[in-house]
Amino acid sequence: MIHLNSGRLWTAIALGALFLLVPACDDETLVSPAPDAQDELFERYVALGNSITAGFRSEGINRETQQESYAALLAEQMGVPFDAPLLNMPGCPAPLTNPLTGERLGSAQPDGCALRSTPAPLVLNNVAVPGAATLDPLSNLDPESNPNPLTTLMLGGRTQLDAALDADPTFVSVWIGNNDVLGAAISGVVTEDNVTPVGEFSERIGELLDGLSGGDVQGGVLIGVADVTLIPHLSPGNAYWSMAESGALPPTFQVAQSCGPSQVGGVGEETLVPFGYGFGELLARASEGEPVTLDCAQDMRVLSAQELGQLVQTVSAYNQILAEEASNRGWAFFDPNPTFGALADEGLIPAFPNLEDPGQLFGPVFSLDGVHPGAGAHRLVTNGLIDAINQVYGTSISPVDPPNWQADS
Amino acid sequence: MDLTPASLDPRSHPPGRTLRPALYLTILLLVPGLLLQPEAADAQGFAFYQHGACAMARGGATVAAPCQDGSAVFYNPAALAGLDGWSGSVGSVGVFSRGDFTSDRTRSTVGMDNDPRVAPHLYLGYGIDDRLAVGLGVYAPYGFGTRWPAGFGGAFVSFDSSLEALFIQPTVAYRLTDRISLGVGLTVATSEVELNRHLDLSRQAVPGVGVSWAQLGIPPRTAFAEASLESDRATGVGGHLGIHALWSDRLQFGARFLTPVTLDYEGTARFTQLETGITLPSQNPLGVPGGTPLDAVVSGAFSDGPLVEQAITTQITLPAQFAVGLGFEARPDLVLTLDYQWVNWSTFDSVEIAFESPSLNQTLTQDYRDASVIRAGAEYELTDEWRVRGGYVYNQAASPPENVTPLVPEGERNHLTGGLGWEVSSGIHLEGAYHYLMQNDRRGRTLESPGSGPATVDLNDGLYTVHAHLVGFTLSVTR
Repeated sequence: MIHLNSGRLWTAIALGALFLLVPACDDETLVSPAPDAQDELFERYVALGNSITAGFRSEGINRETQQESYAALLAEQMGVPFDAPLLNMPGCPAPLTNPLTGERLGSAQPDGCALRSTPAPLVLNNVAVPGAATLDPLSNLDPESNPNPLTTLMLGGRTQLDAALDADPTFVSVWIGNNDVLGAAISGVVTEDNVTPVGEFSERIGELLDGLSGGDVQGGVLIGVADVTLIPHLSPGNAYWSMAESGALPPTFQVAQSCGPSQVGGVGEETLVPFGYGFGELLARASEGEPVTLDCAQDMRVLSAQELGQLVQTVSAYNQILAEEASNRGWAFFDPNPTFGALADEGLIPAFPNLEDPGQLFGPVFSLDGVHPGAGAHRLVTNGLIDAINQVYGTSISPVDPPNWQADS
Repeated sequence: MDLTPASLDPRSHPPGRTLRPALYLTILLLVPGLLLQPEAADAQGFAFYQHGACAMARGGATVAAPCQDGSAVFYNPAALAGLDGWSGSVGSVGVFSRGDFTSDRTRSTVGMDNDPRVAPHLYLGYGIDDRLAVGLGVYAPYGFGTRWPAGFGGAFVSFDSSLEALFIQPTVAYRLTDRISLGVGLTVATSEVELNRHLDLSRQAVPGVGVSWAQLGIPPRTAFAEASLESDRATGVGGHLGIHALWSDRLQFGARFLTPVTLDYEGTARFTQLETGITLPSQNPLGVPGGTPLDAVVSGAFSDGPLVEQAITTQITLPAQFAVGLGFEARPDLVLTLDYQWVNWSTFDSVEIAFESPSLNQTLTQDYRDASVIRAGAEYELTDEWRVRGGYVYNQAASPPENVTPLVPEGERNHLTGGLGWEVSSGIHLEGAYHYLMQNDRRGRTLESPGSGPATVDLNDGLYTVHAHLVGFTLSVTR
């Protein structure tokens, strides 16, 4: 028989209950998705944009180029996770390895696509789509929008704005507008139809930024439209004239005096010849024995001084709008053109394709399509953005290592 | 206070009292509970332990000192022995649960949409002689019901699901000696289960192409169909054993073992197409014209594809449970009780759902773990007519950390209970109880495992919080 004093029993039960309660109230907690974030502002960073932001280069894109985009580098410096719609190797399409022969990574075909990598992230931090102009983040279905296979492969039918809002961004970067003038530049023909009017650009940018502000966005950085006249895809007419004079071009490839420098009465220094026209068409035909002539005064596919002025003026107007939008919203603004201009001044952006080294056909700054920045240029842009962001928000994001032009090309 | 094992001992009810008008109203309130299905999980996993308001008020710590309302059929079948004459009781427990999920990433919180649930209990007993008694109990020891709002990210695991299991238990109890009794019951379980979830298009294969929709860019969590898997009523059989011993005039011992019950369900799967809201841009990889709604592309799956209405089967084992306890008469008017309970939850390791279209077959991995519950209770006799009760319960979590999902977001819990017992008139008792359930905040997931492999804690993407209020009433009559 057990005999327990009731007072002792109560004490024992009370102690027992206390013993049970101590381990029994072990609440678990939320986990920060970005424990290493430099600032709460950056906790959910989303990048909108076009091919440069997406990581497209050398006429291709794959998970490696995507992860070398300035947006991915910026997120890494911010200390936050950054999920992109990664594309399987060798790419979609695979990047060029030799632009003169058309050879691509993994011997892939130009229209080949290795599809999206799975499992796909729940939300995307990089919603940029190659080919996007200012209308595209707002609509995939507008008759004037520019969808392509990557629009579906990367966003699954959503717009950039929708996909960005799905990620509930706290901070955004927007680099859009290059394609509002680039098409005209690389076609060599500038018309009212292939350059977005400044008024429309302003409306679309405003609509996009207002749409983003509808979420939890607390800050952002706008990136100026690149001066497309700086890209090595465009070569001065006099460079072709010099090459012809030196006998570097086939005898069937004639370059008219109009492409020469002003000293010989030409306008070559004031004109730009798109690589796709000079090499892709004229040189290709000449190499097959067909006589061709590049005439910088008459040829519609050569960008005239007037057309170049129109492009530069348009880009300048775009960037004024972007700077004002950033200022009005208290956001940062980064104009990449002084950076790229300085690189051109340093001779790092060749005036004419380097035919002796197809691996650096357009120099160390730009990739093998002559349009999109290479890995090193992405690092430069990243540091420019970091400076702009730190200045406006008082943060202390540390820069990435500067490019080594020998290794990063 | 009476500590005899006969749970409805008429000796404790003074004669000469009459049924009061309020009682009729009470009966009207209680009986409808029997018409509803039990659908609540308040203990551990999806167990339910409130099968009488008296026991509920004591935190369920009654295996050694069962209440006098017939609930001994569940809490310890042996304690029926010694019953004198007829007895019966009926009651129900209302469960008002609240819960939510807060996302790690966005800190946004989504609340559950649970409706109040009712779990009934009914007991009948008859003492054949002073040693032998028989009884019948109807109670709901397992069940759950969870509902989340439309658009919840976890809807691809479950947004409206339930399991209902009602046990019918004929019981025989026999007093071996003046101090030791044994009881045995046959448990006949009848159960239905329902699972409603959204289907994620990104995880499906594109017909005839050999790739998934995710590989074509369709975002994860693109709800394109609602799957409703509903079983017919299944029946299973098990047993329930109990032993009760009077160690002294003041100290009792009890133990019980409820065997597992395996239920083979047959049912129907129905699929309803949902609007994805996605319109395909031009130059899409499917080669359809720009402006084509994605819904039009996938609609064939609902007419002549795999997502037509079809038969399904599955099997679930309701786990065994064992409880042992002590009851101590600290004073003539005060009884203290302490129970330990073990539940063999490891039998709930996976649920395999077989569809008529084998490509849809699915295994819901649960990997529950055996888990323990500790219950402490007290009952104090205020007057001849009124008793006050209280209790505390602690239970371990049954689900592993990688399988805390919207289906059953359970975890470690603390419970506080209290209640009153009122002797309305001779042989008529009305018991009332309140139970507050506090679940420790627990990390869990709203995501499915990305492949065919088991989930891991890396998928946990937020925090589940759950608490519940339970209110129970039991009316018992002894003749």
